[in-house]
Amino acid sequence: MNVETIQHPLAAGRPVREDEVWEFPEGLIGFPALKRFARVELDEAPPFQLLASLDEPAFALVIVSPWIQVPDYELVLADDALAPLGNPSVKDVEVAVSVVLPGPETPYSLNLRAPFLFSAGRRLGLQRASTDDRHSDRFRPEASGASSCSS
Amino acid sequence: MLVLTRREGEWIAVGDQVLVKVLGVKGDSVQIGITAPREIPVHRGEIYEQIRAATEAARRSASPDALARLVPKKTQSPGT
Repeated sequence: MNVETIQHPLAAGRPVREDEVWEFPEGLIGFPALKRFARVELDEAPPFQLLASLDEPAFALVIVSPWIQVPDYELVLADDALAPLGNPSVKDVEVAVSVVLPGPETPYSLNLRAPFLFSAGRRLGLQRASTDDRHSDRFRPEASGASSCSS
Repeated sequence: MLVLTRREGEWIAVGDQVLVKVLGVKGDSVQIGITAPREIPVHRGEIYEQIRAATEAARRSASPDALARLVPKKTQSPGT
């Protein structure tokens, strides 16, 4: 059953199924009022997905699994980081990071510093800061020599 | 902004659930202990601002034109 449609230009008019709706009880870091999101595939750009706010239609982020381009990415979190998700098993948590899409003045980059964590069982999500200071919030895979993504 | 003066060992209550305690002062550094419910994330100020700015940059970049620039670059199969 479709409950809403995405308004953002990257997926304008796309219906959102109930199982694509994620609650972020804390909001995002720096954006605490944004608590409901649709997480949908970007059909024209797999494996990238769109995390579109259902609270603020103009707000959406392109996200991707960090391991697609950084195979050795190691996520280090505080002991109680998953508590808001009900302490799911790590294997039941999906991880994605936001992407800065390439522009005339901005290079393509990944925010490895503050990934999104998704607990599919409860449809809950949250954003957590990695405790590893080596993780950049503007990581550039090509500049680092990391492998590129191909479908 | 509320400004309070505290000495080492003294603390501040923010509402009923958040306690901020001055653990020690060494030179120009202050060691602070924070007790807060799990649902209240606590970040160092500069990290919070960096993450907020990175999210804002990702949001601003999320456009059909930018995605079109990404797609041939990132999802094209090797050799095509």
